[in-house]
Amino acid sequence: MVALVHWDRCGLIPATVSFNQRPFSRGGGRTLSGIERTTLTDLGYWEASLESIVVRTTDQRRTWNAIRTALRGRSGLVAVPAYEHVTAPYALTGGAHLTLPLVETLHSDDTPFSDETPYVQGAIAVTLAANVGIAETIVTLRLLEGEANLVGVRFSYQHALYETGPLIEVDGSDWTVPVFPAIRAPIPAGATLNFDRPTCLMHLADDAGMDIGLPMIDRVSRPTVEFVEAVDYFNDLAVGLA
Amino acid sequence: MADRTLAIAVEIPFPSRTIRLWDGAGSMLAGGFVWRGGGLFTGLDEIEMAMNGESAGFSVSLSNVSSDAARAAYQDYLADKLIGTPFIVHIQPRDQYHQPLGDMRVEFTGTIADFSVTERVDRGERGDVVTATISIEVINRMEFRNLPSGSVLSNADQQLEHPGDLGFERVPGLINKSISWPNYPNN
Repeated sequence: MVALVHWDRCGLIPATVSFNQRPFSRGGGRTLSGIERTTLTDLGYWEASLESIVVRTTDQRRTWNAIRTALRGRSGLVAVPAYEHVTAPYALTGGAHLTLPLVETLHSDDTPFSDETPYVQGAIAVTLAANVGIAETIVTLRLLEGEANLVGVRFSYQHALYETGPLIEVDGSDWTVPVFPAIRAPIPAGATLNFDRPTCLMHLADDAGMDIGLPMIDRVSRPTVEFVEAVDYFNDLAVGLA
Repeated sequence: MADRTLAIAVEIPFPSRTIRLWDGAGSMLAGGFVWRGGGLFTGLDEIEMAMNGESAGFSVSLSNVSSDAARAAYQDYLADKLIGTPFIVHIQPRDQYHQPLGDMRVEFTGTIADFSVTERVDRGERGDVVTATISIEVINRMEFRNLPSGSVLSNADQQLEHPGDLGFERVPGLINKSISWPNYPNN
């Protein structure tokens, strides 16, 4: 894995988050009757924008500076949180309005590990029922813990973000759903998918993407950052270069 | 399977490394190989059949070629092995969920005639945007119709083409022959 930065999901909170699909449609132009036939050549890629991020405190400004120094412009890789808490299949709430904390567990005799840390796992436990390979678009998810509805939810695996579509089949706890985008990197059967805090590996949309000013009166900046999915990284990974 | 879609993929078997690209975002696993996405093939729109015997060459720019592959291609170029490399366009049918289905079909095969690395600066909204691409000039065999053949009406060329034929045997002699015409006997 190459060096990447994680966006500070708690420190730098945007007012509006949008993760949008950008499909590859090809058309031949409109006919005289105004009709156009289009063909999908690929499911596409993610584009995200974090709008009006409140940057006010010293900590927030330092975090901002640190992230952009690490990114060094458009070529840098950043794992952007998908801010999925409204759609996440939490067992109790079925779409909480807050991100539920991770579950921390101690050993059976109530002791943590030797460095004082407990076991940590997500509040949602979903694994993959069958292997999926590159460019496949259907996955079978095995729901172990969480709300029994895996339609229209987001998850990530190794920073590749996926969004599920309408249901194809349910067999017990196995949910077969289409995903957007096409699988970027192979996921083995039994792999635990990140439903609690999914992330998407992205690039800044342009080099000046993290420009920020300092208002001298109230010192609150509200910059907007645009990202595009780092498909080049996944392509390198697929041919074994990354 | 009414909703079938197609994927366009390009294969360039450079001597030291085969580059495989397709017109999508992520990678595609098809025909037993991984095809890199993100390479937008501007220029592929000009593909035409060699129907009228015309030379149907075109220029393709490849983007999202990894630096490794670009370096390999450049090494081949320096070693004079790149010109003449085939350029193969495949079509991959896909199922209703846009997953590769069935075998790839070869739609077009050309030959690489030229290769150039271009770097261009455009004025963007927020600063200059530098684009680096590899451009490849692809031709088909009809291109030879555009080239002067270099042969002349001489006995040497005729012997190469048709050994033993004497049709051009006296051509060298004709160069210095003075022709007086008309030359009627009664004059």
